[in-house]
Amino acid sequence: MRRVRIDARPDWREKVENLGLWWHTTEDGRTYWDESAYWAFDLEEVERIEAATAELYDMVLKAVGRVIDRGELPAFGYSGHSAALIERSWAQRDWEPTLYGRFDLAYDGRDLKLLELNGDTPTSLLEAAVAQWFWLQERFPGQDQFNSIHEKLIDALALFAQHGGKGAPLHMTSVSPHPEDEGTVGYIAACAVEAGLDAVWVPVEGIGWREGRQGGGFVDLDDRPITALFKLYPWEWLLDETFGERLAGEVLSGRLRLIEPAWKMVASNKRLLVTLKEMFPASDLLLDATVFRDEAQGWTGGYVKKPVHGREGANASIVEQGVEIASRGGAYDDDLSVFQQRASLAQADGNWAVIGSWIVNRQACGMGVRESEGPITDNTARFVPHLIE
Amino acid sequence: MSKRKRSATVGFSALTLSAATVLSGCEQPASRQAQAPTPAAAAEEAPLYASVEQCRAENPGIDCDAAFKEAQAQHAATAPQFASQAECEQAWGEGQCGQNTAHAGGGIFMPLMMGFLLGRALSGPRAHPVYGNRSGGLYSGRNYVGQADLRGGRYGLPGRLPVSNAPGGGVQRGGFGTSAYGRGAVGG
Repeated sequence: MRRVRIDARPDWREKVENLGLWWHTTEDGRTYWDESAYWAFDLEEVERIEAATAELYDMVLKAVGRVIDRGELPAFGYSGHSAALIERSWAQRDWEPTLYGRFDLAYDGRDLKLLELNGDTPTSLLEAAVAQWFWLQERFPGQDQFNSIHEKLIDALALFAQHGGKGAPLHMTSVSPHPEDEGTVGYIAACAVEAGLDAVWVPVEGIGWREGRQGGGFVDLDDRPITALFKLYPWEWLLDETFGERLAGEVLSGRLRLIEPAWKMVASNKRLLVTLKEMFPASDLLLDATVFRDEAQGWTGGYVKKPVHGREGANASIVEQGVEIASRGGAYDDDLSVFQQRASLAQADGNWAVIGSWIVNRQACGMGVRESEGPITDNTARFVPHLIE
Repeated sequence: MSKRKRSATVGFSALTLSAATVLSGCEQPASRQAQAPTPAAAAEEAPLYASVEQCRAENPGIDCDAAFKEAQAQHAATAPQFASQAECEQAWGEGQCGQNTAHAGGGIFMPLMMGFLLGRALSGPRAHPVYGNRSGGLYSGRNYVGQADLRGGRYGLPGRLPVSNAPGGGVQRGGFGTSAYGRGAVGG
């Protein structure tokens, strides 16, 4: 794999905006969609990433199953309603729709290691599925890319449509106003329409609760009932908020289905990194992970402390020989933490790259590269396209 | 280049339905449109005023003081109520709450009115209160009526909003969304 500098298309802003990618530049004016370079992989490397992603997904499913079977949910921070929801969704996992998840991988061309999985609210989806594909068509029409995310997403939604999803609208929600989240949900809504579903948008704070004679129910902005809801909003937050108990009641009674299903909370919880390492100690895809800082302090090469619910690098810190060498603030510092052995990221031209490898409709099907100027990949890390050479 | 990693059978025709067009509802057959964030059913749009002065300047013939008072009274009767300032602020944002002075004995807190709508009724102008949540959602009574442009903690109010005369049909809103406040990233 190598990083190649290249001129951005002169009208790249307009081009990506036409695809729905309005958040190509951060609020403070920095480039987020960055086509001034690309990463070139050879086919062998891509096939290794693809196989590793499929293998990791199998391992994650086994680990989630073990956590639930052994009654370990409280150690992950789930009890009461959230545990009941997770257990129910796991028991019904063959029927519960699940669209996607994104593994973040450290890969420097030699070692390939799992950093974490975002299985509940992954973003950079439109960038990976669509924007980089169109970039490839214009820049290198003869080349290939590891990317069938779009087709797999439609497949997943069509599967949902065929299994009871068509009877009522699929409501879709995120925080609003929020260009990135609304844009990502808008893209998934477009795929849902393509799959024959009736997609209806509702901002998360616009979701209503209507009391009725036979119990209440959630409604959209036009007071229509919500029976299936795609949410780009963490399960843990929904359950923690004013309507959380009602949400739990509706889902547990089967009157409401959420995408992603509740067991994805466990899949995304970084505490699972420790379970994975316990279950698959010989896997060369896994870094050492522990809940004990003392243990982590003994590792050579340093460790990374991550809050179990953290997203986008928030509150992560990197410690080398007992000294914190990088850290990110954020709003997740009240969380439990895990300690993960530090991995070696690909570095080039002063950038650190992490691979986001997608599982869609239960298949490894594409990737995107995010670059930072420091060792922690955060929410401003630039998305850089890739190709296969 | 050797083996393709991408399925060649399915193209990107779907992208004529791009994210932008789906959420804004443009350029699609009506039957297949995903719905744009439209506020609750409303028959009428009305101008929104942030102050009595603004109302007066734009409506010389209208008793804006009376309209404001009417909106205030409606607000006291219909806005969500909380037992403490802290509970109210948790849901509606810091500095966004006040005591309901219309409530005898006090002790009831509710989101502050940000402005009022001047609608029309057969009997003359009808005023409706508007208040906003921490992420810019605008409500009247218990109905979501639209979105403010929230920049640097200041609410940019739209010039017009739909009037929602219905009492909300027993629908409560605003029970989700509070955790996102103050966090940069929701997805990840």
